[in-house]
Amino acid sequence: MNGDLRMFLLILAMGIVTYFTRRAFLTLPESFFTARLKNGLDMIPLGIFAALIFPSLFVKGGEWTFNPLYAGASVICVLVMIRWKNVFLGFGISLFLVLLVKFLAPVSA
Amino acid sequence: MNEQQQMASWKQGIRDSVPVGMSFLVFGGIFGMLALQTGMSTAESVWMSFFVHAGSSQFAVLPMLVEGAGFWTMVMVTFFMNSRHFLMAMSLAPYYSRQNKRFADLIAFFLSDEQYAITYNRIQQYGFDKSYILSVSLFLHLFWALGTWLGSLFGYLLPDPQRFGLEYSFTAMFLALSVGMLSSPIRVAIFLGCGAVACLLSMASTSGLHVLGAGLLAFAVGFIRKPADGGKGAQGEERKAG
Repeated sequence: MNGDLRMFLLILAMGIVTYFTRRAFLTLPESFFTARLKNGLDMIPLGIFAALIFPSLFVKGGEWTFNPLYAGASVICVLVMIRWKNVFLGFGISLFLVLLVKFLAPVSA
Repeated sequence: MNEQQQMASWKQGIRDSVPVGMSFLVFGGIFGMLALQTGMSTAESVWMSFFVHAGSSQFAVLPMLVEGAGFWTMVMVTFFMNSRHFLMAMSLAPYYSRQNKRFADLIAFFLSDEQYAITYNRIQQYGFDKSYILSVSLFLHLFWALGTWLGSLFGYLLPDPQRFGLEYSFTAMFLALSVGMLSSPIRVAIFLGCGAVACLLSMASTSGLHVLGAGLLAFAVGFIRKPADGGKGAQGEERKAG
């Protein structure tokens, strides 16, 4: 198999398995959703979001880490969200803070 | 929904996607630049970003290509890294199951972490909106592929995301979107508990399975526990629909 064809097939296979993981359970029969199951499904986003957030703040290279800048920005993000309930504001202020500090002190921050 | 409302949803979808879209441009650009260094052509890297559209597994495959890893090894790594989407899709199933199957077939192609975060948040607040979901999906997809293309052409101009803290943009977005879900003490406890478990799993493995593990844990807690917090979410949507 030549290199170009192998790469084409690799991308095709990667795309197919990725699509499968996304499509497999996206629709299920209505009878499938018991109250208990719905309660379980309702909690999944909490776990997914937590897993996308916490390791990016506290794990680096397989070890615990603590970045005061990211932690501080995250606290501000949460406070802004609690006070104003505005995703743009929470996202924007916390990211702006990080960019500003990194820009002003790129080595130490 | 009339044409005017559909247009408003499209515009809102684009507006809500802009911050992440900008990050996609940068990180897609980095992917394009690195892919070029591993020997992939511009067409191949853009084809991968367009057809696979799964950032973490795309990045994971690059060093494997350099090391000459086996074809099926790379496919399996992609599968396991993206296995978290099984759970994401399942949490959306109560909403998508009521839609045309073709719409689900289409949107599944775009179901990235970021698309999931933005559209799930919208569904929770305003109910299911096809135009909005399609708008967010297409916009994010386009920016990821566009970023890859630009990165493979002009990657040397990109800033170092670590130096300027750009990688924090995803954390900030996920955090801002998750605060609204923490509507009861049990939800806060599950969120924090899953975060701690995800950190431990992430330290043990870099394959991305910590997301799947945390999602399964949250599901198990919700499933075992009696429905008591008003069922905000899947059941809340039923109330809206009714």
